[in-house]
Amino acid sequence: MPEGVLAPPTRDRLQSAAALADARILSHAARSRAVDLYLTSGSGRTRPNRRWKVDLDALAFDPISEVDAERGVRFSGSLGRAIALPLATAAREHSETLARITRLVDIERWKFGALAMGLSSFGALVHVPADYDVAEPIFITYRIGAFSAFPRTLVLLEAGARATVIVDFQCDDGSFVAASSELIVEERAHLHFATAQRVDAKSVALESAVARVGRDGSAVLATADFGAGLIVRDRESSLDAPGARLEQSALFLPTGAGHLDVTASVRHVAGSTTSQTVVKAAAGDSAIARFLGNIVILPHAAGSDASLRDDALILTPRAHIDSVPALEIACNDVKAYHGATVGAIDDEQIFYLRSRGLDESEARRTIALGFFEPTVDAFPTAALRDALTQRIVETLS
Amino acid sequence: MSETMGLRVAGLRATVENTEILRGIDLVVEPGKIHALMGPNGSGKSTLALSLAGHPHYQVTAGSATLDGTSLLDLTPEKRARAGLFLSFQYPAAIPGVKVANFLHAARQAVRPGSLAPAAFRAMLVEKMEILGMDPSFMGRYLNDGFSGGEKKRLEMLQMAMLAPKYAILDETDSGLDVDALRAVGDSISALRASDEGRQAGMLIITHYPRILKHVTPDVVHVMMDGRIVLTGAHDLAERIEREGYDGIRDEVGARA
Repeated sequence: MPEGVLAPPTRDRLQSAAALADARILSHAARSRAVDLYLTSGSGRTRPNRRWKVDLDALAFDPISEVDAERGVRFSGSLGRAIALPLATAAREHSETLARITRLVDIERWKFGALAMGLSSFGALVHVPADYDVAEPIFITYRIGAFSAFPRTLVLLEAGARATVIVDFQCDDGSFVAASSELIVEERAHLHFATAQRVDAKSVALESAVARVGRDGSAVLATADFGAGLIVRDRESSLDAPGARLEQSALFLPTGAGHLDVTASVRHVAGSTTSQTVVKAAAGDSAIARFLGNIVILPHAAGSDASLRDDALILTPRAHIDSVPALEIACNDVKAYHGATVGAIDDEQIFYLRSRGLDESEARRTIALGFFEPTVDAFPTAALRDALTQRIVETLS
Repeated sequence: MSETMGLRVAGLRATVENTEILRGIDLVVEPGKIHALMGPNGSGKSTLALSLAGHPHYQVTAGSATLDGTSLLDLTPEKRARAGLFLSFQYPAAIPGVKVANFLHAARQAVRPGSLAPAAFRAMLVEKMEILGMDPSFMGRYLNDGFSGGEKKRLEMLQMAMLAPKYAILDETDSGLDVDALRAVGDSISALRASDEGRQAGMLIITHYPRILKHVTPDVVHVMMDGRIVLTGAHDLAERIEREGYDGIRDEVGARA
């Protein structure tokens, strides 16, 4: 948890931070409006209670970002004809693309999205032209250190384009990050978007993410969250036209006194759209995790097929996981499934593995890795999957 | 044959939640022999199997159990497996996310460390799966997760074949199987006993019904009732049970109803 040395920033302080930020990325008037939206909109979360210790509507942080707009972001991977640029550069050279994504996504609808927008000083734009397949993953690395940062990640895949984008936040203890991910997948395009994060005890990571998927397009979204800090994600995916598909997965493994709160909403706007959401959450020590999964099938979305699978593993008696799946279906002729389990590792599973020669700690590790496997498998490269597996093993031991 | 060889159980008593289920079991399975342990439901057959494997819910209160001279009762379940004991579970646990091939490799490494190079392991796996009539796609499936009853039992037999134990206890491996699956189980036992590693394997086949014994011919048949072995005989004892059921034997031995 962040220490209470800072008070929540006042409106004046937020507005002066917005006024200092780069007007080429976003006009000062728009920033001012976004900051006011941050202050006036609710986080949608309940107030602190016996378990949940943090008031998400009164977070304390330093609104001035010290991160260098150009050097704070690095790209690697072979781009070919795709464009990947720091947001400040993109604002000069591709302002229309930026404006278009901003308009389509409207990230300010989320409290922390409005914050990222209002104070955003750096970030990245990835733009893949029509029918171009970026064979190799594009890595975006944000070097944030122990500072505040408000990075926006904007991705536009034109019709028929394919790309894998992996975002890495390099933060030191004490960082405060309010990030946005704004993803447009046009018709027949395919995006694989992944981010894995460890948030230390004194750090805060907030993300608002919107993905919009067009006709016969598809998006695979994978997240993995570790650590003892505060992690909040608001994710919304919108399946805008027939044939659009979404696979999203989330792996949570908070430890220490970590607080993790994720909402994932899938909107089936058009018919014949498909979504799969898989969440695997485990909590250790006295960590707390909350997950709200929401499937919305709108009135004209006949033939939609949605599933939401949400499993939680309690590793210690003091850990706590709340999981709320919700379905809002305004249409007949759809398939919607949700299932949720919460529990500890089963003694019969442990005995079964021990009877095959594995000792108890190996048995527990095997079961826990198996539990997370579908969400590790959703990550795009073998190196990332191995690193995640390693991190799970380290966290559990 | 040395007097310590074999899976030797003497005077074994065990309780589950303070209720005594095993009331003095004496049993010797010698290397290379097949024993059938038959008996009605509730007679304690599965309790014997799970007690020998070291299930934590079963408390052994008296007696001994040794495997080729090694006392099993002081060992953890994994050390019993490493000593060469294998239990084919009546109800194997599902472990989602753990792929069959990876699990088999880990188990083989744990039980017989360093004994097979990866390529040899792979070849052995393919061969054993063919004997069991298992599709290669099994290797990538999650352990018992969404498996049918027959698939679970085939996977137990595959594990037995891959681990090549010195002594295997098959707890109702035949129950709920169709004729093809039964034959596959029989073939798997025969194949293990035909292999170099499994030639001397001793087997304790626990069954309610005699039909598995059409596919595997036991050297010795035991009948268990009320926590004791009440009758021991040759293969024809199983045929008698098929004809008469357990009631005739119960009357003969005077076991409590």
